[in-house]
Amino acid sequence: MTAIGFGFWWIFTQSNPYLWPSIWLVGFTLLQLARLFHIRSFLNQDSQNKTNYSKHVYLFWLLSFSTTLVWSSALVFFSGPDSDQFIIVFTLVTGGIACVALSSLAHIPKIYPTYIFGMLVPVSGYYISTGVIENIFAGVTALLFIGFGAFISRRFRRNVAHSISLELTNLKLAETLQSENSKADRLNTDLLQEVNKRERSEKDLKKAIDEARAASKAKSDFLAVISHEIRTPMNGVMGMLDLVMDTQLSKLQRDYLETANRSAETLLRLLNDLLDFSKCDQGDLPMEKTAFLMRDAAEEVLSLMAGRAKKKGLDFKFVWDETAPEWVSGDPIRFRQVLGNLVGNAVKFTEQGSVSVSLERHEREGELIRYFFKVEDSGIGIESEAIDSLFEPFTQADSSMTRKYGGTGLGLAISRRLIRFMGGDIKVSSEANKGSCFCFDLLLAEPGAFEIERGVESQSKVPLEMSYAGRVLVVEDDAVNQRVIRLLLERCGLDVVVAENGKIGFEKAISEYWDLVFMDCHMPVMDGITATKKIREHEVQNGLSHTNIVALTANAKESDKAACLAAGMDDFLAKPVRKTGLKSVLDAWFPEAVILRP
Amino acid sequence: MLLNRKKEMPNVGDPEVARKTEYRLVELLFQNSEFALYH
Repeated sequence: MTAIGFGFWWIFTQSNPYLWPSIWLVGFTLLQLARLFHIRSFLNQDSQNKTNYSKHVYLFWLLSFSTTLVWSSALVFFSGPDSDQFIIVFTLVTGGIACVALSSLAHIPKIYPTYIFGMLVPVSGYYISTGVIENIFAGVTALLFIGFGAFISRRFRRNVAHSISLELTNLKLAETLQSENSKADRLNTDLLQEVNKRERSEKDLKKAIDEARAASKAKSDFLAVISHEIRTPMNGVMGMLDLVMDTQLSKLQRDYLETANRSAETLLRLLNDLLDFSKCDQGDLPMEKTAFLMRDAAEEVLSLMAGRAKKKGLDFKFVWDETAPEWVSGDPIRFRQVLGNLVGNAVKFTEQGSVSVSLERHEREGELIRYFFKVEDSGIGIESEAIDSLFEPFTQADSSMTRKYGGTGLGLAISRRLIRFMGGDIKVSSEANKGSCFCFDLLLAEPGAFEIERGVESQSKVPLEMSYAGRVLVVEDDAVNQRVIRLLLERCGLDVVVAENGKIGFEKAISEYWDLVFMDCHMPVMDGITATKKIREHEVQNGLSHTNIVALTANAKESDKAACLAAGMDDFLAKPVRKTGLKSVLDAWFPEAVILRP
Repeated sequence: MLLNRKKEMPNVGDPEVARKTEYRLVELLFQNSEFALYH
């Protein structure tokens, strides 16, 4: 603009006096320098100081408006005899500058409208004041241009503001995105660390599980070995006790022997409890499914307990839900075991008052029936803090109880596990010195007609003193057990031959006819499993008839029984051999036995 | 604020963006005017 002003001055002073135009040029140039200085001073400020920009904008506005006034004053300063041509050029240039200024001054409101007003109003006034119609038109057009310029400047500013805000929003979004990406990266790193940590934990856990399994297997193997090692001498002890008690004895001798027999039975029960608990713990407890009369089974258990209760002077009550179905399908032995444990405890821990056993009610659940039992006593009760650990193995409410009342603390642990195997659960409520109440439920099926028929057959077998006739081979390495089983079988009227290991047993079994073979499993030279397999192979190869072989072993686990049957044995009898167990096996394999006495 | 936000920046909801937009407009005013004065 200053250059244009200098151009005007040079052209005008070629044919006119230069004093006033020179004064105008100096004033205009100084004003432009002031504007430049102000603009530079603002732009050179630190960005922090620029935030308070209002006063700079107002000063800028003032200086730019002053510039327009000084510029328009050229109409006065450049007047002369040849100024008409100059006015036309000046008007054109002023219009051009007003248009171009839009791009630099429209960003802030009022500045451009003021600027265009200052530039064009004096020119417009000059033209209108001439009174010539063409000039008036030009002056009015210039005034209209001011309004239009103000309107355009507003639209221009809004568009620029919109573009800038979009750019800033995008920048902000990009920053947010970058920040979120950083967060995601950090989270990803954390997650990766967590995954690695979990993988390590999983490995440790797997290792711990393997170790626990190995420990559990070692415990199970240990129990099996211990069980076998204890059962073998127990067979001798209990067998001999049975035999001695069948002889002529004085009252005192019988009393001593009965005490010894009870101790042996207690030891056997403890052994069975340990095995049961081990099986429950491993979830390896096969449950039988046979039809039985549940009330009869319960009464059988309670008749044993009633004697003990009577001795202690307890009131023994038995209540039965008469509407409950009589026959159920389940495991009668396990049912008796659970009821026996609970009622036995009730009688054991009650010194006075009563013990009550009841089948409270039953509920149908589809095809199955849930039976609700309650065993209540007025005994010593249980402290509330001991109730939680009551069903843990080897736990009694008070350690002194073990000394006073006996027991291993396995009964309730086994009972709860058995109840859960039978689809139920057990709860206890108790108050010290007032009594305890054990409530449990069992989910059992209702047997079909065929199952009931089989159940009737098995329950109608009454133990009888029998006499059998036949030849029996006993394959057994232990001398004491050889003697016990031989005596027990001979007392039943059987002709007994003993073989001391599997190899001799095999040779005897294939060389002669035997009505029955009792086969021990663990023996030197050849074990019972191998001997049985060889006997079966020999029978097949030579087309011989089937020899009945009964396993007679101290390995009492279900898996041992399964192994014996898989090897070709026909039946299984666990040591120590009791008269009742032996009798049931003999009944099965000597159907034409002679009844001696009922 | 030199600009009336409702009239000049109706689409800008974020006050921080509005403040920065106004500041950027002021900067453009000074920068473009400097350019015009030099040229």
